[in-house]
Amino acid sequence: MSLHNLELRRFTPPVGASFGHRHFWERAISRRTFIAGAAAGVGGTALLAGLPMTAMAKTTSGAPRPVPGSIDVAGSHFHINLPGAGDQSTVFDFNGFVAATDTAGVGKGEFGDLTFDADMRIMEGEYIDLAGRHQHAAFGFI
Amino acid sequence: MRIPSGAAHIDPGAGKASFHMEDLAIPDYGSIPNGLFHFAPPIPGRVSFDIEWSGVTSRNKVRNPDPMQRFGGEFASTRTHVTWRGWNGGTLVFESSDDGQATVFGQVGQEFNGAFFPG
Repeated sequence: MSLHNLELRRFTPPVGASFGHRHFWERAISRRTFIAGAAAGVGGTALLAGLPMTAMAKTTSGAPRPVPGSIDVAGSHFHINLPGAGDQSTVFDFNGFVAATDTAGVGKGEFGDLTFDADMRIMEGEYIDLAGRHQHAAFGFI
Repeated sequence: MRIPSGAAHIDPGAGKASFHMEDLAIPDYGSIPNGLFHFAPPIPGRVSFDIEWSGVTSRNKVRNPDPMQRFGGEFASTRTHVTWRGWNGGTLVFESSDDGQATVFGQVGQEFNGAFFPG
């Protein structure tokens, strides 16, 4: 997903919503969004995908530690940095290769033309998992 | 998410990388606020994509000891190209165009962070 399109200052959570210290890793390690309409901000999203990491982190051996991160939205902290602003890896205690992009463009939707803005990243290399073990793997932020 | 090693290829020296996945099942949260905070449950979706990094425009070395960063490495700024399709419940809901794309940010590098950051 591209958080550049999220008008952070204008987003207000629903009254009564409970936001703790949420790990972006847990909530959305893998996200992708296409935004309908130029400069639509948070409106008109056609598709936003995610793979919540909570279950994976608890059940999968070798779960990585998320980067500290620098994004705060509506009182919640997310463990990721914006494209071009700091470490582009989403995996901490990591030593390896990384590629990151924020690409904007146009396309066809089910009902007409759409614009998109894609923040996608890949990491491949050595890391220390949450159990303190050295591992080697490839990860994608989609 | 963990991905098959064959899905990603990163060559920092050449300033090139690629990321390809086909028919990947994902939950679709519909909007950025819902994707972040999960107000409503997602619906099943599938995506296929090819991402390409190439065309180095600059190179730089980074060492950032800020406690909230603690990373360093050597990075190449590159151009990027995205080919993307997404389905919702069997319906193709988006297909990117090869034309008119703009790289807002593109980077390929070799890095170390956290426990691998010296000092």
